[in-house]
Amino acid sequence: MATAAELSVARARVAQAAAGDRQAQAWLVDHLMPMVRKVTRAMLSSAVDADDAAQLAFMEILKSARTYRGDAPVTPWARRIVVRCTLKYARKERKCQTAEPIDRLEDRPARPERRAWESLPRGVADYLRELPEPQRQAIVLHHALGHSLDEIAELTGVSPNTVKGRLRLGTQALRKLVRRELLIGAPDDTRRDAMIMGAPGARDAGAAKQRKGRGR
Amino acid sequence: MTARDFEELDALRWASAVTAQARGEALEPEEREFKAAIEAGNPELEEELDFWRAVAHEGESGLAGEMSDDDLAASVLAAFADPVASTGPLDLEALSRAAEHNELEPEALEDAPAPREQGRPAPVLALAARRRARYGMAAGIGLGLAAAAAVVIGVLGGVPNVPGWDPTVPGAAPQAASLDGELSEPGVRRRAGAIIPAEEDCVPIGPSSRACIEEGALEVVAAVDGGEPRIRVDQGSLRVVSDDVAVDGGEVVASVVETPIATLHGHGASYEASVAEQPLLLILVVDRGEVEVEHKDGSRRQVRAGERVTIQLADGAAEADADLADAELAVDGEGEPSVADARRARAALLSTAQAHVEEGDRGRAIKAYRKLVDDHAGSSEARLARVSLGRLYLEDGQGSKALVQFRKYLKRSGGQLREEALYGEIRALRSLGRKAAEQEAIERFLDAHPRSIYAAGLRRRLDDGATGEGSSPAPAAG
Repeated sequence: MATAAELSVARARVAQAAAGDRQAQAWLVDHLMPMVRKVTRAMLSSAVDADDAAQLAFMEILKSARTYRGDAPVTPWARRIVVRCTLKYARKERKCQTAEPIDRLEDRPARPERRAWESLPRGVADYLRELPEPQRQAIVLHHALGHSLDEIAELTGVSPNTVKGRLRLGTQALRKLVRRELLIGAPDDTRRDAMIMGAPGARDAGAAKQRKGRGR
Repeated sequence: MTARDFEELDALRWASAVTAQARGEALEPEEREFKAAIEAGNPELEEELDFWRAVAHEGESGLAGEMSDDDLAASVLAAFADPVASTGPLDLEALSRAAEHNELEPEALEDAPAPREQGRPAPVLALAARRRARYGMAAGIGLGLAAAAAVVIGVLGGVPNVPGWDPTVPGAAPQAASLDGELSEPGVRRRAGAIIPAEEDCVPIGPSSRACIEEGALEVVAAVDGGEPRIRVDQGSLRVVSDDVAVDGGEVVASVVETPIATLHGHGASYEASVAEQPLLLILVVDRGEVEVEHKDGSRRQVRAGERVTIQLADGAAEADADLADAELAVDGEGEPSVADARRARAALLSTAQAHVEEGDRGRAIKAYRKLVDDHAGSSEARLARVSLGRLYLEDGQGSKALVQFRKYLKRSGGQLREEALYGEIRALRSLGRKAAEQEAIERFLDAHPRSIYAAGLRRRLDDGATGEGSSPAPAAG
C-alpha cells in the first residue's frame, strides 16, 4: 500500500511530466517500464508488436499525465491505459485513441522468445496462442496481470459473466493441453521451433515424462 | 469432490490462487484453505503447478529481437519531447499519418513549438529493420510517432544547410532513387526527415542517396543531426544507392553511414556495408563512386569503385570506446568469406545439431554443436549453443564437460539463456558431487533470479544442505 508521502511524490512528478518537464517524463517512463513491458509482451508475444504497442502506450500515458489525480499509485492508473492501448493494438487498430487503422504492420513476423520451464514441453506463450483470442486475453489479464473479472469486463467491454465463461473455458483448455503434453510430449514442430529459439528445455517432454514416472 | 466437479467448478479458482501466489500476492485465508484442500484431494495437480506459475510470470522475460529498455525509453521521450514544448502536445498521430502520406506541409506546422535548441541531441528515428523482404524497412507506428517528431525538427531546424536543398520549400527536395538508381516515384518529391512508408524499401539519407536495409539488420537508426541526415547500422547489412546528382555547383553531397567500427562518407557512391557483431567487423564493397572511411581514431582512407575491404577490431575491442581506436584495416581481398557466408554456415550447423537432437542422436548432436562452438567462437549462435551443449553433456553423464560449457556461457555478462545456464551449472555441479560449489551456485542463482520457477526447489535444496535425497530441484536431464 502506497503511503501518503509516496502518493504525494508520484502526484508531483506526474504533474511535472504533464507540464513538460523532461526529467519527470524520463522518470515516469523508467518507473513504468517493467509494467509496460510485461503487459505488452504477455498480450502480444511478438517482439515487434510488443515494442510498438509499448511505445504507443507510453505516448498515451505521457499525453494523459495531466489526468492523473494522485489518489492511487501511478502504476495501476497507467496499467489501465497500457492494457487498453494493447487491446486496441491487438485488434489491429494499431493506435490508442484516434488514428485510423494502419495495416502496414500485419506482415511483420511473430517470433516470440520462448521460455522453457523445466517440466513443460513448450513455452507458455505457445500454449496461450492455441486459445481463441478472447480466451487468451482473459487468461493473460487475469492470471498474468492479476485483473479481477469486473476489471476485465470493463477493459474488454463485455459482461463479467462472459469474462468468467472465457476464463473457465480457457483454463480448461490449457489444463487439457498441458496434461496431454506432459504425458506424450509436444508436437515435433513446436519442439523444433523452440529449440531454434535456443530454448533447450523444449526437448524435455520425454524427461518430464520420466520424472513423472519416477515420482510415482 | 469428483474430477468432473473440479474440472467444471474449481479449476479456475484453483489456478487463480496459484497465479496470485506466484505474482507475490497474499491469499485470503479462505482461498488458502481451498487451495490446500483441492491439492490434497487432487495430487496430480502438482504437475500443473509449473505451468500456472509460468503463466503468472508471462511477459517478464524479454522477447527475442525486442528493443532494449533504454532504446524504447529514448524513442518515446524523443518523440514526445520536441512537439510538446510550450504549446502543449501536438497531435502526433495526425502528424504521423500525414507524414506517412507525405502530406505534411510546412504550413501545417505553424502551431508547432519553437525549433530545437542548439546543441541538443538529435531525436532518433528508431527504424525497426525487421521486415521480411530483403532490404525491407519497417517503420512501426510507434516509431512513426518518433519519426513524426523528427519531421517537425527536420523541417523547422534541421537540414537546410545542405547546399541547394531546402526542405522547407515544396518541390525543392531531390527525387528519391530506387535500388536500380531509377526514380521510384517520378514526380514525387520528398523533404528531409520524411517518413518512409512501409511499402517502400529504402530511406533517404541525403538529397541523392538512399539507404536500404537488409532483413535482419539490427539497431538501425536514422537521425537528423545538426542538419546532416545520417543513418547508423550496428549489425547486419545496409546498401547505399546514390545518384550522381551535383546539387550545388557540381559538388556531390555526401551520405553518411555510421557503424560501430567506422563512419562511411559516400560521395556519389553506391556501396554495401555489412557489420558482424561477433567478431565485430565491417565489410565494405563499393560498386560506384568513392567512400571515405573515417576510423574511430580519426584516420581516413578512400575506398573506390570495385574495391572491397574488411575492417576488423582487435579482440574484445567492441566493449570499450577507447579500444575502438585499435580498428585496423585487416584484409583487402578476394575470396574471403563474407559475413553472410559465415552466418549461413552457423545457421546450417545449428540446424544440423537440432536435427540430430530430434532424431535422438546425442553423439552427433554434440559433434555438430561442438563444431559450431569451435569454428565460430565469439558468435552469438556459438554462445547459445554452449547451453544446449551443456545440457547434452549432462544427459550423456559428462558433468565436467557440461560444467565447462555452462561456465563459458556465463563468463560473459548478459544473455537470454543466463538463467538456464546458471541452472545448468548447478545441475552439473550436483552431478559431480561438488556439494559446496553447488550450494554457492544455488545462492548465486537465487540472488540473480529470486522469482525463477526453479527458485522454490532450489531453496528447498539449500534448506536440505544440498544433500537431501528427494529434495532436488530437478534431476539432471535424461
